[in-house]
Amino acid sequence: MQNDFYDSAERLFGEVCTPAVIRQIEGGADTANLWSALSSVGFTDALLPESANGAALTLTEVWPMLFSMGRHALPLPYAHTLLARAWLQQAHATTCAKASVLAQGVPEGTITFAPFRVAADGAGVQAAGVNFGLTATWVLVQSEASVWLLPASKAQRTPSGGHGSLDADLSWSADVAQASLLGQFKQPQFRELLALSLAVLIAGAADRVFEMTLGWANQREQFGKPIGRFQALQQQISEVAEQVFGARMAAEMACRSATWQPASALVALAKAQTSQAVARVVAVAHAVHGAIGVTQEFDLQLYTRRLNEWARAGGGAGYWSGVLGQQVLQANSSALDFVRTELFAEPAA
Amino acid sequence: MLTALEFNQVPAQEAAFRSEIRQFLNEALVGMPSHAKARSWMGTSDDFSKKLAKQGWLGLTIPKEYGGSGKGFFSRFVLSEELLASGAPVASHWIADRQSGPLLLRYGTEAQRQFYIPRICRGEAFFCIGMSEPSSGSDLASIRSRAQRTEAGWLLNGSKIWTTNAHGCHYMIALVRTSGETSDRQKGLSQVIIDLSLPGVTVRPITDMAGDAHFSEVFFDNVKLGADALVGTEGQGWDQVNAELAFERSGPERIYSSIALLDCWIEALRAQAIDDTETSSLVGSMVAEMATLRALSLAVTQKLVDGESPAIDASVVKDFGTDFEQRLISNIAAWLGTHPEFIASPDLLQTLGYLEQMGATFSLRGGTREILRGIIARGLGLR
Repeated sequence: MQNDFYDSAERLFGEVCTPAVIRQIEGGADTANLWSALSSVGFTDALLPESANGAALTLTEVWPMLFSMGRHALPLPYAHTLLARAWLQQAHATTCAKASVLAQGVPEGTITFAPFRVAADGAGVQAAGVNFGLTATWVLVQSEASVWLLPASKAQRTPSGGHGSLDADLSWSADVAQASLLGQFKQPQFRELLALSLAVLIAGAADRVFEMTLGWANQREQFGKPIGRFQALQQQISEVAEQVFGARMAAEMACRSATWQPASALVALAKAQTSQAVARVVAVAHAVHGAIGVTQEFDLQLYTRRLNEWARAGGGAGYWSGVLGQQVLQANSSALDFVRTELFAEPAA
Repeated sequence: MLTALEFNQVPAQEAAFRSEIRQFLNEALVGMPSHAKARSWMGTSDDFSKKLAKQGWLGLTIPKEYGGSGKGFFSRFVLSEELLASGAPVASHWIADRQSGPLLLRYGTEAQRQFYIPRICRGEAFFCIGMSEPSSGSDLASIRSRAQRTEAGWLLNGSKIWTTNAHGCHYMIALVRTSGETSDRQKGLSQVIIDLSLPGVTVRPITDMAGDAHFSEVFFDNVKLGADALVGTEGQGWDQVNAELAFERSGPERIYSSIALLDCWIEALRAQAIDDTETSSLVGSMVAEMATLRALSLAVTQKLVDGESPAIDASVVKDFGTDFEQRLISNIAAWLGTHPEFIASPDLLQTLGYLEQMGATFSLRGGTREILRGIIARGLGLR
């Protein structure tokens, strides 16, 4: 993965999204500076077609950047935004979504997805537990076939997660909702797009947490030697290495696409596989770090808190493995042939 | 050091080869019950191995000049995957094909290559690997079997144990001490080829808890070996064995050991129209993990193609894979316990029974879980 995209993404995020910036934003600071630093580089329209002034990259091509976003635990839904913009551009181009909000094209700012826990009635639209609901500029909300692109600035926002969480309950008045309705869509796929974003972010953050854990195990000394020399820790760290490799591979697989759109079976695989890895990765990371790892001043918690949230957000391992399992049970092939044809796009034997 | 494993596809040109193998297996294995399939690379059939040899599928990656097919690592991946996932009884030739042939090709003399490798490719020479001894399991460097130089060659004394299919093999490649003392550890160890029909060799099968005898104890009592029994360089046995174990650990063996149970169970779920959330979730989690492991294994294969020696990556995939294979067994067993009304066929229960009993060996054979994690830790720079 040592390609140019990855290297420039790592450099950029390392510069503009430092742990200090994450702490400020979690503390309620404005996200405008971070967003302008990120968006000025021009990744934002990476998945849009050239006709829409995008870079027309495929999901496979942007995968290293998305992974890097997870490694730096960006406190904005940037991965979500790339996918949402591609979806919106397509909706704009192919449907008669004449809502005023799309009339000028895909709007500026970050966009998150709210495909679960949405209620829409005469009083307006409510979306609960929205991932990055506190920092997103826009929310693509879906309730059955109805889709809204709602401005977060016009929502009543209430933090919905634990300490430092960026998730929120949002509600919009009927007027705002009406003005923001994009229309009816058969398969908006926001569940898949949210799950894909989170799967890749988990893979990246797990990689970062693993890197920190390895570094600490080699640096911290007890009993006169680095704690990583003890077999009890080596065994656990090796196991976590396997989980981190697996999570990264699953996320990479979900980004295999010749377009901006993921294959839904691969998204299910990736969100299931990455989410199930989180508990062990986080537990071992904290075990190795000891008490310092749970302090506010130490950076580990910036990533492990996010990993815990992302593992269950947008459907966790149980939900997405259930989606995949349904497809397996409805198929009529062996486990290997299902895997080969549906997940590796190989021809039938 | 560990570097990232990147996704890559099985090359498209392998599709035709897979179809050819599949067609052959559909005929050769017709009517085979799941509990027999579960034995997979612990199941032996000399006939079946010879049939594969006739197809040119033994020694697939061995150059044609030595009787092989000269194909690449991805062809071998496809063949291994098809054989393992279909539960074909491959134990007779498996070690010779996977390890001994490539080892001799790499370290053997030209005479050794000419003699053994074509026989391996014809299914006429089955090999076993002599590693563990009664007092040397994970601590392999403590082995005591000794080959002493004589005027005519070597005089071998000692014993090996837990040797997979030794009773069904013609030859053993054993790691033995050729100089120094046990306290010299890795120094002074060498690999020798032993014709198991020689006087002084006694092979005693050991019955396992599943009622099979898949491994043996082998005794050497003043066995006279020729000078040409030495493989590679005297005293370099430890390094050679480690290079060989990289072959052992890099294939898809460590994904599919329990797949007969998974397929049998999924079939039963479909037949009984069971698709509740909890069951679907269990099915999906295991298929997701299997697919992930397959991709990791293919990434290791790509490293082999690129000429790298991905010993540590292979250990990652093997340890991850054996954990999956074992969890698959315990998960399905637990699921059956949660669903006492489920109609479990005798075949399903026998498959489960076999794997419950022998699953413990999955994280023992070819290096235990703890040893592998130690290897990974070294690769991570912790040791």
